[in-house]
Amino acid sequence: MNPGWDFHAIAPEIIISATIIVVLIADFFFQYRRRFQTSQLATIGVLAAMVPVVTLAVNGGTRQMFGGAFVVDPYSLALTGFFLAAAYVTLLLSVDYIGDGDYYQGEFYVLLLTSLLGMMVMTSARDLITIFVALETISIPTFVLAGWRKHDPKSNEAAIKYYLIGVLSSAIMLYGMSLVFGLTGSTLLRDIALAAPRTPHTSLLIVAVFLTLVGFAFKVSAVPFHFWVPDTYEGAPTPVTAFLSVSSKAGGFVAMLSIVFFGFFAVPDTWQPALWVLAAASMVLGNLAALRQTNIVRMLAYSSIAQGGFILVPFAVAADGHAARSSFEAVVIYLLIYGAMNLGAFAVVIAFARRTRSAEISTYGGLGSYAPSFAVLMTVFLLSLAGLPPLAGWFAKFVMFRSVLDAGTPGATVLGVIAAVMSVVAFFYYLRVVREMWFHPVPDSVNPEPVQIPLALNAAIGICAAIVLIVGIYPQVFARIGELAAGG
Amino acid sequence: MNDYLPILLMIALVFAFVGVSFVASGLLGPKAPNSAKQSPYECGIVPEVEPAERFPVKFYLVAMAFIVLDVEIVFLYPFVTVFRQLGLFGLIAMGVFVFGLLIPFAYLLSVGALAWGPVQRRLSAGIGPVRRSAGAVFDPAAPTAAPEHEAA
Repeated sequence: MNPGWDFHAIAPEIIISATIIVVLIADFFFQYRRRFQTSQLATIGVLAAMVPVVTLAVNGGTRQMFGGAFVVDPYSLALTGFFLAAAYVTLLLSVDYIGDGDYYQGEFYVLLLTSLLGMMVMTSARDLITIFVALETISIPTFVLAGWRKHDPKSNEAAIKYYLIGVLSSAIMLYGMSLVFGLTGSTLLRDIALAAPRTPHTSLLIVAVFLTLVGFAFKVSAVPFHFWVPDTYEGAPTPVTAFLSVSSKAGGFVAMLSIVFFGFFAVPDTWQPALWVLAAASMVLGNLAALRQTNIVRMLAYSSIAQGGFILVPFAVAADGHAARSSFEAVVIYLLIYGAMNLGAFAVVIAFARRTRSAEISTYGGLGSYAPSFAVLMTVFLLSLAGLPPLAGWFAKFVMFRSVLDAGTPGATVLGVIAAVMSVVAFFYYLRVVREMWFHPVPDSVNPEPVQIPLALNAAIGICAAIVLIVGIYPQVFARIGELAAGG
Repeated sequence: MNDYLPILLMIALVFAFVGVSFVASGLLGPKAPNSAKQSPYECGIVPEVEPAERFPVKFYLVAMAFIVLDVEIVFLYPFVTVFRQLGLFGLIAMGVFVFGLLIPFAYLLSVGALAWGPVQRRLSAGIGPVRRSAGAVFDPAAPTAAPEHEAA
């Protein structure tokens, strides 16, 4: 007897699970010199998992399993595709970094794929327990990955800080979830949506939703739950930092999307004020702190906090006016574009570090004179992060402001003004790196001899640059994905 | 916004409870210190060794191996109660699950986590260490941290 399993619907997850096992087994048998082949196996698995995502998207419709706890619909497919693509780029970034490092290779890819599996389950999870298990599957492997350079105290610090904060946020979130279950009598978001408006204990419901969201706020590094981010991002291996800042963060946002829109949308008083404060604080503090950074990884860490604040803006206005649909679209589209441009920026940082072994912004001086192609690409990614047309970042900002305008309430307007001012502030620190690259002389410590950049790294940069340019000029591609995700 | 009052109230209560507990125990508790009371573990037994002793990291590996078995039992037990209803499907599903749980054991064996004491020494004398421990990779965040890296 098959208790309602739809194997087509969970085919992507099955393929990734099988890949995890194959990579781990293969790692036992490969000779040390041939360990790099585990990365090829992992890449094949990620690409193979995209096939059922495409066939499911072509078939369309909504598939449910496990009593509605696991749903495959256009929204989950769009984000599963995003996570697979981001993991593919991360694999490209990691291959040579991990290969050169004399490090356990098989384990690295196993952990990376396990985290990816959690993200894929998260897109389909419509149940508090499933969401929690998916979130832990995302987090626990990344605790280990953050400490991958285990002989470097900074990497140890990164892992320990990330681990402690992760465990603390899980505990807080579980506390909130248990209160939600006690008030609504269900862990299914569908049932919670029906029961939440009817509960007489509104104050307790606010506490419950607030604590649940605080757990995710740690995950998406929203201010004031961000203090682990710069140290963890700086200490972790740079490909892992790219993975944390894009995939892991998007995993937290996906969980927030599901909980806010499918669970508590009918009771906006419980989550809107808290998310408003988180969004405003993240934008202000993230952007202002980024101004003062001298290390590019730390600057990108604060920039990712600030970008997280921009992604939180549509959440904070979702229930006002007629912004429900456009804010859902805005979050999805912003996540897709943010992924491409942030991974691209980190890819250039990794390529540059192969040359100089440095991440100080001052060592980027004169990059435009001896490596113009890299300088151009870095400029593209940074200006896209700043939101300058015709690069993809402007469209992300555009959909974000559209949701604010659709909301039209005073609170939304104030948040929109903060977002606009902070977008201008962001130009300063992104342009500072651009100015360093193009208008400053080459510092003495940097050897401007050309360095062989591995093919995989070039491919990663190329993919990200192509997406940033194509979506910037022809944003209908991602706009359509956002529309489909929001329900046709 | 008014509805957030309970949260603030709760935070205030938490801090009040901690503060009151500290102050009350400081004011009300009689103070008669002696050496037994000030030992780290006040349980009446004189400590034999200093607590800050190194102990083998293998204990953690044993704990993790235990968790694998624990998970297996947690899922096998409910499966047995519905074994007949699930039929062949359940048998295949549990087969896949148990196979998946075997892999961590294969992994533990491969990294030498279960080869303790003289066995491990003889093994590594015979075929060499199963895994190399890591050197350093270049670190973009700390340029001076990795002098021995030459490969890039």
